Amino acid sequence: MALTLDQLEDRFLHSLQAFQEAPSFSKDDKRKRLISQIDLLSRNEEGGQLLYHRLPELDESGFFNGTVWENPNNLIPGLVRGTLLAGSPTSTIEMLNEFRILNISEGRISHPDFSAEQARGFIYSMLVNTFELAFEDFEHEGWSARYADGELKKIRMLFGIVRERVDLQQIKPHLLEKIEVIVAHRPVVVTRIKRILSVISRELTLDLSEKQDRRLSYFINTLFGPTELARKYKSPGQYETALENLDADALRQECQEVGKMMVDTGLVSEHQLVLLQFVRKYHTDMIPEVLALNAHGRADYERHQDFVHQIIQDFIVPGNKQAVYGLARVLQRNIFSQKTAWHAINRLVKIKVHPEVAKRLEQGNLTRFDLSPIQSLIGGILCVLGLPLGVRQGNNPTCQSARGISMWSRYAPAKLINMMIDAATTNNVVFRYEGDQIKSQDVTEGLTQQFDFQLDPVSIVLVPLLDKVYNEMMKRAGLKHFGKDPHASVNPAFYGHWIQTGFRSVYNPALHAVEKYDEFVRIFYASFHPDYNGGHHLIYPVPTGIFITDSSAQMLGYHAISLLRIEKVPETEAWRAYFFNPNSQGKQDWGQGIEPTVWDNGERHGESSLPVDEFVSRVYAFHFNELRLEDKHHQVPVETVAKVTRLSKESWGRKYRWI
Amino acid sequence: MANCFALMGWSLPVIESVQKSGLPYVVVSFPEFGAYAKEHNIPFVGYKLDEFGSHSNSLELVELLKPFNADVAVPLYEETVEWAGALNSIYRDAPRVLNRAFLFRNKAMMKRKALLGGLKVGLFEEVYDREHVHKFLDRLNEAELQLPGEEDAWFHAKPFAAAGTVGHHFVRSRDDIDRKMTVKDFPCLVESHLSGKEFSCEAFIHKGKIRFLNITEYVKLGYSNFIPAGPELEAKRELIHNEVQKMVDIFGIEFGMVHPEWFVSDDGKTINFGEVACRIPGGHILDLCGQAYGFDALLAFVVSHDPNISEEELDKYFPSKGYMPEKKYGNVMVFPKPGQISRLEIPEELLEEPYYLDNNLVEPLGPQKITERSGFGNHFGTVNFAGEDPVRMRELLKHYEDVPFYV
Repeated sequence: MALTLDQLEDRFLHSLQAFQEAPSFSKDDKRKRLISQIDLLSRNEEGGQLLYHRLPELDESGFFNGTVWENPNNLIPGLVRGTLLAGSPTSTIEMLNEFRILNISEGRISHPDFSAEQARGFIYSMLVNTFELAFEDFEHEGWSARYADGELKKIRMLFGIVRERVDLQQIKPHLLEKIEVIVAHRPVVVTRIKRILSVISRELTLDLSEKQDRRLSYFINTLFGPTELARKYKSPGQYETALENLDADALRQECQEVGKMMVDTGLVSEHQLVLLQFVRKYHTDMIPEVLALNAHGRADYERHQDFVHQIIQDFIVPGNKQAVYGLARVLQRNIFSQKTAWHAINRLVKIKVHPEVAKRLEQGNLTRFDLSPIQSLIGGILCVLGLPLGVRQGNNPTCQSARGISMWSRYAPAKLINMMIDAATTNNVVFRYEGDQIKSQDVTEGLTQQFDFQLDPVSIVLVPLLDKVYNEMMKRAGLKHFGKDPHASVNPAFYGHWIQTGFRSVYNPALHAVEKYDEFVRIFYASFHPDYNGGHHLIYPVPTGIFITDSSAQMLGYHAISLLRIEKVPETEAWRAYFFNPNSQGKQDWGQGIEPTVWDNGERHGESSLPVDEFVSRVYAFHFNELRLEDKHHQVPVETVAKVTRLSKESWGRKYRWI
Repeated sequence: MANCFALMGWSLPVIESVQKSGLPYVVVSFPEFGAYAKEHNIPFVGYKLDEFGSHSNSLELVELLKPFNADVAVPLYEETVEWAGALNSIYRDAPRVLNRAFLFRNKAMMKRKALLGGLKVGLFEEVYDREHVHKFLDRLNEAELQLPGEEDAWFHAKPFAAAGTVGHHFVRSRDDIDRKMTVKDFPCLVESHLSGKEFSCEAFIHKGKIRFLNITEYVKLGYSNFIPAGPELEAKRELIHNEVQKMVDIFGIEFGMVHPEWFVSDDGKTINFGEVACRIPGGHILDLCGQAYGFDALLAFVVSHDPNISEEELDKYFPSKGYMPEKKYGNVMVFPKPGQISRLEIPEELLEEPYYLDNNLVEPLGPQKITERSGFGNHFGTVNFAGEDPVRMRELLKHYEDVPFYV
């Protein structure tokens, strides 16, 4: 028989006292023991309520001191989900922290530098960021396979209390913003947004007289019932029967309506798939309407009708319905009309998938539908080819591989499909590096230890292999070109011939210092900025190494992105750098007021952007064309260089010696 | 009462206990600890407490400790036993205190002293190479009246001065000698195997008398134990008490705490001496002992070293005489199982278990590969239990030894 709540409370108070009395050097051990008592209380609502009400005492005891949770101002709502799922004691302290902030927001704890207002803001933002988790019942077996039962109980208890104490209607504007940001990115993987929308439709009441609620409702409809008819006949079977009863005009209108919503949001409903399959059988002339194709897309469709029909019939099923959007985008991009890509994809549809690859693809199927490996693969390649900038790295440290996939998808679709054929049939890829061959299957170690499968099928097939190849190249470069930045030789070998031959890095490893930063900035402007390079746009994307900094401009690490273009924001005179960032967070705060945006500043879907000088202040390495430099870099104004230098020195530059 | 205790070595739990008690103290340890001590306001003297030998200058250390007015030294490490002995010899003006410290640190000397005093020990010898060991086995087999074709007698080889089971070999045959023992094992002590169940106890000694005797029951040596021991062992308390007192008399121990290991003979009637140390035992035993009996056993350990404390004062630091708690306190040390681990997972059944008390297990720093363990180091924390029924306690400790907490 388990202990009663009173007994647990006694023990908790006893441990709390031991913690309070402990000298500084044994606080950590006493905190661990206290946490193990708190864990016992975190398993149900009553225990949680008790903890919630004891929080002022716990806070007073200095429980959070010396931990990363010490100062609430430094906490990032976007990280809560990760820490809650990180296991005890991390998850326990995180849970208590949410209780603390709730207490602050309700005035039960007063904090010198964190007001009740700030606390409320944090809670809203935290709820938006952990939205699916906050309403999760953890009934799906995937949860218990990956997380301890007690941990899931703890999370459920936490959100039970948070939901009870927070007015959920208040978070709607924050949720809408989050959705707009994700949608603006047009990601290949839409699991997250689907979950958010399904929770909203289940848990929140929308008031259609409010503009924001109408917008939320639009997103929900796109996914769960795009038309009157679809909302009336919810099940796919009923909907199909209803379609049979429509006359041609009504059917065309249905197709147009559904197609438009997909283009607006990048989301595909089950109804849309039913509709597409229906018109493929009975009204092929309406396929372009369902796919919302423009003249370019229609032309490509008409040219490759039979193949498109085959793809719709054999490869697009409820388990990969986003491929409808992928297909539409591929037609818009006229990829089937590129001879090399055409042959490559015709070969891809006939391959036999390697059992190891098939296993990975099955692990990556997060839907409740069956999906054969080849369907998964074809649906995946359509989405990646259709949305090159929608590729993400997930929770993997594999930004280089994601950047590669995106780059090939955009500039060399045939190369990407060809590589997919190798990888999917042999679970192996071969690259050249300075005259030697590197086979992924001969390499044992990649950067990533535990692979996160919340990725698109193309990444699931390729990234584990690419990651190994990249890692091996970096290792060899480190030995072969000792004292030089390994990216200079690895990037061209890994990404391909369109990487320019010039290379600049801010760092001189031999001197352990930042060197000739002036020149670095000047060359950047002179190569890529139309004001200084003779008014030209980029021909190829530029793989760029950047310093990632946090909201207080502290350096966090290195990251790989691609600079896509430097252009003026439409209707203003401001130059912005537009870039592809493979990590999942489009909207970020890099400190010094530098916050990349993903919409409203002329970004295309999937792009992030920043004013040019702010962007340059985070760059540490890039490739450029030496032949075209001439002496253009001397024309870059001193003030521009000075501004970038100041931003750099006061952020990541604090960690380096400058000479 | 002591003016100031000099704590020799480093043990945060001991420092914590003494600091809370308000007794004056100073920690003597390697200079590397200085910065930490300063940060946490721990009175500190940095000193290179290398292996004690003829070159060691305890007078210099006495001078360094003068500003603190230290007059009692307490060893916290196995390796500081001689240093504490040397200081106490000076403080008490009793040169033999140092010799006694050597006794604890040299297993051969310890066995001889035990033998002289009339404790039963095995046949033992100091050996310097493998040849010696073979000859020892010849004589041991001969004494056991071995006939051709019969198995060799079993014996143990142990370093002269090492804590716990470090460097210990259990030799079961002549082949084992060449297989298990290497050049770096020598010189060492070899001793014939004493059969029986091993247990250990902690005797807090003041003025040559046992003030408090703690008997620990090991469920599995190096993994799990609980206090007070089950009824089988507690029934022998008087016998054990007498044997320990006998040993204390023979060794001439006056102050401090000793941690002897014993073997209960197979018929359960006699107990045989294994060895004795005078440091804090591992496995959080004093922690459990303190929880079970409701006193601060670490502080009691420290004050038992004080020759000037009166009986009445001493009583304040110990449970009342003859007190026997109802509840057993036990723990199991958690070692991750060999293989790949990535996270800590506390089993549900543990959290539902009424005997479960708490744990201080740590989350692994990312995925890692665990290899077969050596010695008893590197555990990832302990899981603590409390409850009245010793049978249930044994069951739980045995069970959780095998539960994978890290997956």
